[in-house]
Amino acid sequence: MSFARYLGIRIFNALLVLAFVTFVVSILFVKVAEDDARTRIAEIINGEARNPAILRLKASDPEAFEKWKRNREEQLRREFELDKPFWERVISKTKNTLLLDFGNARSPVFGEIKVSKIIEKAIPRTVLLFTTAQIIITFIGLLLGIKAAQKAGKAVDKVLSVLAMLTASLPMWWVGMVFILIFAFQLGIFPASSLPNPNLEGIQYYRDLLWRMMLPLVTVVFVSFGGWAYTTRNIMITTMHEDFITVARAKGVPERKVIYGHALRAASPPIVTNVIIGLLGSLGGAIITEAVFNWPGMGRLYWVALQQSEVNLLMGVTYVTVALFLASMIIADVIYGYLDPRVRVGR
Amino acid sequence: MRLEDVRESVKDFAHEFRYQKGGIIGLILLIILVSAAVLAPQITSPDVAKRWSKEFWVENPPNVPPTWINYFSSKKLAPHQVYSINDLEILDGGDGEKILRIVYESNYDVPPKDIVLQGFKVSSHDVKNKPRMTVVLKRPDGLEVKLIEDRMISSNTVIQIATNTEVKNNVFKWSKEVSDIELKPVEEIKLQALMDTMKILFGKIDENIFKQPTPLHGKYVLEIRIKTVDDGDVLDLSGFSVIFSGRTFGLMGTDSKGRDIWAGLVWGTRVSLAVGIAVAVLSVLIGIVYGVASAYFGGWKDETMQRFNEFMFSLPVLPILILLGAYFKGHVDLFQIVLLLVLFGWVGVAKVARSMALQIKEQTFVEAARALGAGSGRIVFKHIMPQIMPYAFSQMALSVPYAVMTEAALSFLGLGDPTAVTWGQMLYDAQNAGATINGYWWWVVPPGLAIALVGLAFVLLGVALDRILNPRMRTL
Amino acid sequence: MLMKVTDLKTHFFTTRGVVRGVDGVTFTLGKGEVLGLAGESGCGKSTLGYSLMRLVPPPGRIVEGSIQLGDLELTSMDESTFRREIRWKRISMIFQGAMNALNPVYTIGYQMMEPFKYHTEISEEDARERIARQLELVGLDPEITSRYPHELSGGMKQRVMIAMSLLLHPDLVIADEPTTALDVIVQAQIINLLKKLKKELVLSLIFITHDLSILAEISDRIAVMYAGKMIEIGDSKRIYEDPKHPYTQKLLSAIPKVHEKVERLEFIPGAPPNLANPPAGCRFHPRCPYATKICMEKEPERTVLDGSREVFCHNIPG
Repeated sequence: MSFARYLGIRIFNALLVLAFVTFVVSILFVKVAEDDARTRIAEIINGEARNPAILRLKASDPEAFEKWKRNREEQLRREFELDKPFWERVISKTKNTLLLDFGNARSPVFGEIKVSKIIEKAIPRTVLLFTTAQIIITFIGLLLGIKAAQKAGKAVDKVLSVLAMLTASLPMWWVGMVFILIFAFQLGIFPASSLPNPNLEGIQYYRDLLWRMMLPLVTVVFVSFGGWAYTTRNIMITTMHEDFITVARAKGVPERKVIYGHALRAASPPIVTNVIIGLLGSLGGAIITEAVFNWPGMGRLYWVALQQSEVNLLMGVTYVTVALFLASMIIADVIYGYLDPRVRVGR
Repeated sequence: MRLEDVRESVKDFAHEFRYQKGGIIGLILLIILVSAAVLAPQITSPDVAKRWSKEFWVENPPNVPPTWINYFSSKKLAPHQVYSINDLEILDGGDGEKILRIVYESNYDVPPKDIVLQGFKVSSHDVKNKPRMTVVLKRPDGLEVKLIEDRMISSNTVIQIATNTEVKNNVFKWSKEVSDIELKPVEEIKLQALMDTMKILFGKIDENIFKQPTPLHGKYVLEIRIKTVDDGDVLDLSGFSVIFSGRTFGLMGTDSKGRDIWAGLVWGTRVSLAVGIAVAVLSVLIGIVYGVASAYFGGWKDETMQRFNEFMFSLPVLPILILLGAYFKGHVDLFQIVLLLVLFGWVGVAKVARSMALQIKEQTFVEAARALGAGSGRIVFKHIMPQIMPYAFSQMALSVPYAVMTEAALSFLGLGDPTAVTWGQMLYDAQNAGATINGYWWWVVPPGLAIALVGLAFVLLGVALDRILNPRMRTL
Repeated sequence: MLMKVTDLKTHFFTTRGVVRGVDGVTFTLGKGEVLGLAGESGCGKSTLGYSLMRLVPPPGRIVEGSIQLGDLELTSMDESTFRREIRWKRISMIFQGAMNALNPVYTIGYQMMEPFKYHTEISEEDARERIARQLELVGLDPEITSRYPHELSGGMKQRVMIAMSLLLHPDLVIADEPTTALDVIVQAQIINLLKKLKKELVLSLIFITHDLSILAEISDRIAVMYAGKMIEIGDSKRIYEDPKHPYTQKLLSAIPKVHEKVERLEFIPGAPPNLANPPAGCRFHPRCPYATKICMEKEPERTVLDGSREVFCHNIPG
């Protein structure tokens, strides 16, 4: 099977998964929305019943009042699409979601009311924060991991292992809270809220953004780099035990080139896959970390959606996160294939 | 496996375990955590779980740091102290008068927030002639302040010295007299409105007494004189208590509802360990059964099972859990949380278990066993399972932190069990009360550390188990 | 004389004690000579090979002795000079089975170019030319330089390895179990190739193997190792015909011979000793049928027979 064909199948698979997940989630969503709509309808009718005209009607002609109530209910049910059969609503929700039509939020977020627009604003911010963090983490992780692998069993290596174990046990979002306590409250170096100031323009805006991004960035890097370095170390140690490393040394290849050439290059496919899988694994923690810092990305949307029961928004962010997640898995595959000739040519 | 072999391997294991420093630390941590969980009612009090989510803890001062910060700060804050009737000195003043005395040693730079007198029980037949109470504070400088004079008390009387208007007036009048400060009438009204009764009571008498009282250290005596006027009155003081409402509280301080954070921490161990261990054990067992079954069936069944496994693997866990949590409208009870976490927890284990089972299936001795006519059940339980179990044990330990952290994350998003005492919930409350931007570190730091501690204990144990039980890891 | 190794000791400093992988080995190697190094697995023969390349993996290191290549003392040479001047240029190595000896992410061409890059000044053109010639010599199409290792069969990979080891015309090639893990037909092809190269190139070769039947075909002299020590060295043919050391005898009788009727195949009872704690005296005494009291107490001295044959055994009359 050629790699292109393999990739095609992978993408097709991912789309299938996405469609299926959307369908299942739509079932849940329609149920939640139904309960939601019922309470809303009851609220609206109760509100209107307090109207003096209606009150008078109720007093003079109770039967007419009942009739008005029934009519109104019918009308509202149609408005909320409760009159359609359950499965029809599920299918239409699935279809709309797949086509990125998530409906409107009840109150505007980031100045937008359409859910797809809100998410459109949030994605670049999330990507900005976590790509930057990931680049830093990968860089530090590689350097430290290679150092530790070279000195396996020595002090550097042991410190790294302990560090990795300690930081792996910390919830990222909690570290965020502690960092706010230390750097925002105690020392006052960084702002507690990372919501950028919308009144600034040009270079000023970006400087403000960077300044506000610092604390969440440091949090993500602090929690993740140890585990990273440890993964790199393990992969590197396995690679360094390979025969071809001994051969390279025997050939008189300088040690630096052996490590950063032969070993690192051979270890790069699993390292990259692990980087991406790890990135996806930290997605959950990252979402909450954003919420802690008020960073206006996808995580913040989750928080808002949950706090204000924005069902449409929640559905939208979930769909987009799953889609991004699946896309990243495919990207991991592509990079792996690019780096490992064994996959590139055929498998 | 014969019993003897089991005993032998357990002995071997115990011997090897002694050389795993990390594992021993992990074991000690785990023992501490389990003891905390089991002894929670004894360590704190048995009604914590019931009271936690329901009410304000009115007897405690809200948002105060732990008492031990006094060791680290130059400014000593008065701790929270409760005097029940048994802690009081009771004298007979004669003529139907009872005198209750509290000796209060104040070395604090910030006095108690308040002194609350409560728990009177009076039954009298004449409404206009109830027992009367006078409260006097004797200060280390020999001065005496009459806080309350001849106040009638009834069963529901609660006196808060710091905010009581009568006390305020008395104290203001008294301090004006003893300090000899001349005040203009306008100034007087303003000062009286702004003054901090407690700081004046526990402050030096000098020119700063109204604006910035200097704390006066030494022995204070609070005297409560209660006089029963009517012979038929019955005064029951068995429930009586005096609370010196603290600027600090207990081991871990309090949150905005006055809840004792230490109690929450100790009780939170229960949920954390229960959820963590239940999820880990269930998901690893399910994963192993699934993986081994898949490898064992082979063919299209294996293919189908692997497709499903891959499908589960390609889902982002937390977003889906959040959505499911929202589906339950944020009232996910603990049992449901365990189910939700298990739903995603078994996937990775199943993958590894399948490939291990496939490898074992190919080994010569298994083929030999098959050739000798061993049934499939025998091969699975006699050959495959014993080799996978070591992996299972270390994997169980390593799955706990994941479960604990995910549970905490869900609670933190407000999707936990609102009736349970959990660390995630405490942090959720802290976040909503703005604990970070108000600097309530004692509310933010301990629950997270507790989560990390559970995680660390199991990671250490898991790594040690892995090293002993899967020896090929040792070279790494 | 090309190489002289004197009292070489390579020890591994593990957490469970010092493992004496090579414990005082002395031998010489002439130009154009093929020395077969035989012994059970774990006897230290591979460690000896790695020691000559100074590639003993940690926690192992050479603790004593000398390795002389021509006039150069290799044990005391500084690392970077050794890397530049000796490795691959003077001594190259063919690795076990070649299963993993080629880096999977680089092309064959890249990996064959490396020795030129780090040891010579010649142009890439010339290097490519020499690589092509070398590949033809081992019976491969020069076009495989653009391929990746996973595209080659085991036998092809081993041929690449052999071609690569000869690129810089080294004085000495160490072949560490070059035919193990290959199937029998490929094994025969590789042996024949080495025999051909030996004749054509006047190759000096140390051939390490546990398979004595292979050594009979290719080596001029045979050295037998047991538990980190040399126990018998001598002319190949004479060792086959008349092994002196009881261990060599056992080892040879463990090989089934095609033309002889064998009642039963011999095997050596017991296992090689733990090198962290070897037995006192002669290391073979616990498994030796002729062991006497002195064997348990005193290490046997070298006995030289007919000028060039060396045996380490108490029971050989000097």
